[in-house]
Amino acid sequence: MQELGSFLEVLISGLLAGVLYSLVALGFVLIFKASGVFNFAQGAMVLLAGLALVRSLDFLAHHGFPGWLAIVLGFVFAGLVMALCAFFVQRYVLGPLINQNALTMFMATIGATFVIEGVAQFAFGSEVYPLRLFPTDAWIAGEGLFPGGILINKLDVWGGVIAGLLVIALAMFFQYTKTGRALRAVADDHAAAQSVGIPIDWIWFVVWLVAGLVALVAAAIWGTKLGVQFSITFLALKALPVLIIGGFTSVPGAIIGGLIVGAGEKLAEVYLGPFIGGGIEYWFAYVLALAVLMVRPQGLYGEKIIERI
Amino acid sequence: MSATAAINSADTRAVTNEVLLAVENVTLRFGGVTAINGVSFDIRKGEIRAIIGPNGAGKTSMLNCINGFYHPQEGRITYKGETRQRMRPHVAASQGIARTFQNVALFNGMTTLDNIMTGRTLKMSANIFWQMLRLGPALADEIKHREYCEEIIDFLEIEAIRKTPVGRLPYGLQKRVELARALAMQPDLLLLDEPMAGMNLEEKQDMCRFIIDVNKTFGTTIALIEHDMGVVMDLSDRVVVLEYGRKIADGTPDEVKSDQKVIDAYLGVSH
Repeated sequence: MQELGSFLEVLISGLLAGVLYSLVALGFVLIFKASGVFNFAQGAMVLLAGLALVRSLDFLAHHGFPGWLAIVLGFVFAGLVMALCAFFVQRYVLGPLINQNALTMFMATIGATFVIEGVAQFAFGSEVYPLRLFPTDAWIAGEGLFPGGILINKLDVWGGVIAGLLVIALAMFFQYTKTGRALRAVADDHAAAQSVGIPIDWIWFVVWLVAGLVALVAAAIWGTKLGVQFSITFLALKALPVLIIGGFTSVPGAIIGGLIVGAGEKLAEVYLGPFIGGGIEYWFAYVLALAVLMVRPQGLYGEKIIERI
Repeated sequence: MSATAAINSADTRAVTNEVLLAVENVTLRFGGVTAINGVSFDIRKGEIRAIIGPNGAGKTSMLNCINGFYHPQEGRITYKGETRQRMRPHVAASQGIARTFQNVALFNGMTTLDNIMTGRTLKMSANIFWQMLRLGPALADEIKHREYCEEIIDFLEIEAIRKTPVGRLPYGLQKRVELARALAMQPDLLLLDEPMAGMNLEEKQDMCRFIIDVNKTFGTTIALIEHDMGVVMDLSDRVVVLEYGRKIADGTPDEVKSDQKVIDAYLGVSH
């Protein structure tokens, strides 16, 4: 029973941490689905959202706004910042590149990354800012079943619930709405989408805005966990294996991929670590991604690409 | 029944003298290259108008100007009596101009039905929250537009591939799905860029029949680019001929066929 208890504890904390990877991966998937662009700037957008949120909360608290009002206003402000970011990216980075190939646009997002990171730190500061939005203590569950019970972080649970709701909303948005259908159309063929009356610039604004808001949610949760700081942009790197495992074009894939990576790395650390040395957590995801690439290059849920020759 | 016979029996068609679209002195340049040079012609409501010419004559560029992909440096395009300066493609679409592409441009990740449904984008009105829940007005909306798409599917005889991802379809059928998507927009003006390119004889005959049927049944005005002269002469009411970006002839198929400049352009002339 002791064994099973500790296994469950590791598994649950891994799964819940995985949800947070999923959140970042989601931002990538959204933009990839809608524009065929791999958005290198997603990590920078998480940083921008986090900084805008934490600094406006500090400012509001300093000026004596009550807690809940400050939080609402803080999120509204950060949301506006992300809308502004979406607007500028669409207007000045991607807009001029309509009908260009995906690699060109990928390069453009690399440029956008540095600009967003620079502007974010210039405007909001470049230190480590603690963020306290969610409870950071833990529950002890199942004490009757297992000696000592299972430790579950409340923050991780919050993250899981929020990510779950987001995914359901996004899946419905993509599958059932005409905007969702328009997004998928734009991803496939710009010219054809325009010819049936889909305004590409508007669609791209919407999708960058949605990705920005997902970044904001990710920033709020990661920020509470680690503090808002520059290293949050490296989260984007963790999203890469998640995407490869889940598939670049699938919203559920991003979630499943995140869960696999989260749970896998924690379990590997605990159960494989003693045999082959610690620190597995840092490379496990990449090795897993490599294995998936060899077996299923399109990822678990990605669309299989059939090329006519 | 040959295409010729079909057109001869089609005396119920509502060809009028009313000008739907007028192109006046349009010039389009890419850097130093002049793709279209001072071309004028018009398209009358209800007719089938062909644009022909050797490769590189500026035919596709002309379609791209009409539906807003390109913006000519000089000249005017008047559609439904309204002259426009810079028009964007989605605005052209909302005014009733639909088109197909020379190299099939479908949404490969989607099924035939979804592709055709994108043609209804501009007609759907329910707001996004209802859409996400698939309830209330959105459901009614979806059903209504789905019904229209099913009619188009019946019309073009592609029932069997309704749920097939279009990437898997053979080329001839992809062209047909593309036509279906354009028809789903209920266009007033339909631009077809080489609708029969790369097809075998049977597929060409089918496509001819569909083009005539569309024109007859829906009264849609059609402008088409085509290289198969037999098809062009059979289908169209009037033909405009371009060469090196200039217009060299304009008239009924018979007039154009006997025009010396056109014969020279197609057969070459010794200088």
